[in-house]
Amino acid sequence: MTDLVALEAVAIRRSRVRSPSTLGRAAIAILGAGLVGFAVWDLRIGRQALINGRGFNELGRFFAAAVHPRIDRAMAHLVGSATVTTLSYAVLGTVLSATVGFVVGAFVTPARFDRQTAGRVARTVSAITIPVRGVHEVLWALILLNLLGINPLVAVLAIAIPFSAVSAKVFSELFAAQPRAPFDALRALGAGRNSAFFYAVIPNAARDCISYAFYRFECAIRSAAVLGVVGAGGLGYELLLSFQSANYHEMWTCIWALVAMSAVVDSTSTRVRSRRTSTDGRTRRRAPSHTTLVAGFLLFGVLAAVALKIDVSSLWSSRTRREFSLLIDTWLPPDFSTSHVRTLVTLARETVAISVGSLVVSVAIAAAGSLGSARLDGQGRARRTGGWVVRSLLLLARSIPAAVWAYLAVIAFFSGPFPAAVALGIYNGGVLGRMLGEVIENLDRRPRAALLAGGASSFTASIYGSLPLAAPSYLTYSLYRWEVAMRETVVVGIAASGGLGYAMKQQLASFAWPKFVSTILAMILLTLAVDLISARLRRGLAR
Amino acid sequence: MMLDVGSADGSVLEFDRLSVRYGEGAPAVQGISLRVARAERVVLLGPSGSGKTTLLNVAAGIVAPTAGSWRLFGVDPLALRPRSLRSLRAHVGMVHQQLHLVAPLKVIHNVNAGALGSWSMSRAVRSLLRPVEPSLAVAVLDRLGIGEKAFARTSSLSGGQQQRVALARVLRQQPNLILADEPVSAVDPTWSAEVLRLLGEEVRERHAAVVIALHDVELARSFGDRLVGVRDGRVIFDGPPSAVTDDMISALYAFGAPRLPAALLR
Repeated sequence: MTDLVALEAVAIRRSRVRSPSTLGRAAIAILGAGLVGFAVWDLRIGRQALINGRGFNELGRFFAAAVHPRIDRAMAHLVGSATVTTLSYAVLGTVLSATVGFVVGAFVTPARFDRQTAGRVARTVSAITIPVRGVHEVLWALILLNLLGINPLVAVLAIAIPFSAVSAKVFSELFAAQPRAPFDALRALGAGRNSAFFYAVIPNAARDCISYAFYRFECAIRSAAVLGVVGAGGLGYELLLSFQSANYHEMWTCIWALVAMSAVVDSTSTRVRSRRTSTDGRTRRRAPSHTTLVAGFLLFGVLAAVALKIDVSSLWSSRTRREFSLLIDTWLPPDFSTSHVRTLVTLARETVAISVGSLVVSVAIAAAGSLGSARLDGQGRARRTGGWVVRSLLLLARSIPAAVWAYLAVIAFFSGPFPAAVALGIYNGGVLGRMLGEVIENLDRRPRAALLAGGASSFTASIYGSLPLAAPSYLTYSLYRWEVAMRETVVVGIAASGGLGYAMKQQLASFAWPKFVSTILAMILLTLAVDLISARLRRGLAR
Repeated sequence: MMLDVGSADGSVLEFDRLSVRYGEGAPAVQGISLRVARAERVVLLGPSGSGKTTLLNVAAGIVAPTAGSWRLFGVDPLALRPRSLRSLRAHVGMVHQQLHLVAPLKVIHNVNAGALGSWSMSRAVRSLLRPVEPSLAVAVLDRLGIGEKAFARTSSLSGGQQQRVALARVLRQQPNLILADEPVSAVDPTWSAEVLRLLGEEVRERHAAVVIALHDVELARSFGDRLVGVRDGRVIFDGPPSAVTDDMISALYAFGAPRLPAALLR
């Protein structure tokens, strides 16, 4: 199974980290506990009234509407075209980012260089992509909106730009993780660096690259939905409009459409990834070839561009150029005045608190959800039905955009960082729960089978036979999800009034551009810091 | 640049007091001097870990010598510019012990990879989509008895078949120096003899030099016109098969005061 754990494992293996000492483990535990304690304080838990009692009736009305979505011809038409828009954003964003990521990744990968220069190249690559990866899709959309105006390219590029940077980094690492000897052998018989790369590296890496592109597509669907909520059109936008007019029945029509789309994409992606990887180089008869998959991928990209009526020339129209020079004039230099920096530090603390708080919620949901949902041997009929229900709940949690969860959270809680953390936690819990469920289902089944044979119940067998094996992956994924949560604080912050995201929203509304730019820079720095800490912890916990 | 591969003295490969050391361990090769002329068939014999593979890897330019010099066709490869080095390397082909084939590629592409030294990048990439000069590759595969496998995925072949694909890559390359590291370890005896006969043809018809590591002494005697015994990174004997006695062979492989190979000490 090619997944992020596998990618991480590559990085960890290369850095040759040994199991941490007792002292190291203690330090990690104390750091973790400290972060959580600090989050509890900064989220004002126990210091302030958080729950808005009157809101629960309203939430009840919202969830009751789930079984009565508005279904009529006009609504079906509206939701149908909104679905096409959202899907097209995701498809085109993925196709562009996978293409750019592949080309850039192939260009900069250490695998294409001879051993002496390879290490230097790898370090430069990850340094260059950091600022691009650090800016969330929503922020890219807000910036691009200023440049291009209302234009489908805003959403497409908002997805494609940060995704290209991530993909370039991951592809370059995938290439570097392939065996080196075939490349060296071709170099030795006189092949040029590029020819050798095409013959000896790309064929070996192709399967992993395709798997990764599909995983990115899953992410793109969720990004496209949330971009709709901030105004890019599509399902997210319809969802927001219905929410603002408190029409919960219409909201649920949109939500069920999102759920259906996520369900199809997630299960296709899982199937493609396991088919690509389960066979050790031997193709199964009916598996489509790599060429077919890539061609299909590109074809869908073209269809999406047609559906969105993409006009590439708007990228260099005179209007865009004018807006760009205006943007440079009014946005720079960033505001680094003492008072603003002080505000930024306070908000940065709040943002970290939101991310840590949300992580606690996500891990709780995901740990319980993954154990409850995994399809394993020895489960009775009731257990299987229960598993299906849990899986559906996780799907619902991740299909509703984080921003919408934040609006809902604000109904039940007083606005501020706390509902932001809860909302992000629920959404990320859905994503993480699916990942951890995959981990459990892909585990070595023999220890569990042995316990079942010895008369253990399915539950006991999971606790004793599956959980210990899965624990390292749980930690790795959860920490990785912390990095993602950090970027996503922007989204929930905007909706629930908390952290740097909320500040950005206010700055945009009041055209305080230099302040906005310094806030973005603060966000990039924060993302970078969390990435470093998380990578360090993950490596420390790896054995 | 076209390289003059027939150097003045006819020397194809030359080691002068060559030493190789991996990391901190004992040297894998210690001060070996060896000269191989055109159309010569040299067999390297010796226990595993004796330094045969290292010697071949230095000759192919995959492992850099720690001390001493190494010349191909009378030229010091380390002094060449990248482009000239590439065209020099195109004249040296190697069958690796671990084959180093690309498993997900079709067989024909692995064979065509032998031509990469003379192909431009665009030609190389085009060939991956639609094989360039497929008849050449298929002809070579036919000689090795696996012509019908040309369009099969390499990973679907057996170990012995894959070994023949690695040989086909070298035959497609048509180098003036063929290096082979245990190229018949996975094929049955009939095919072993056939493979060595094919390599012999390369020597007779194109006057290529062959340096080959074998563990089967009978095969070595019938193929080589020169046997070189290597142990602990040093040459123990070097002469025609007639001059190499059975006692010399048993001394070469004798289990006496063996030094651990460098790789194990690391």
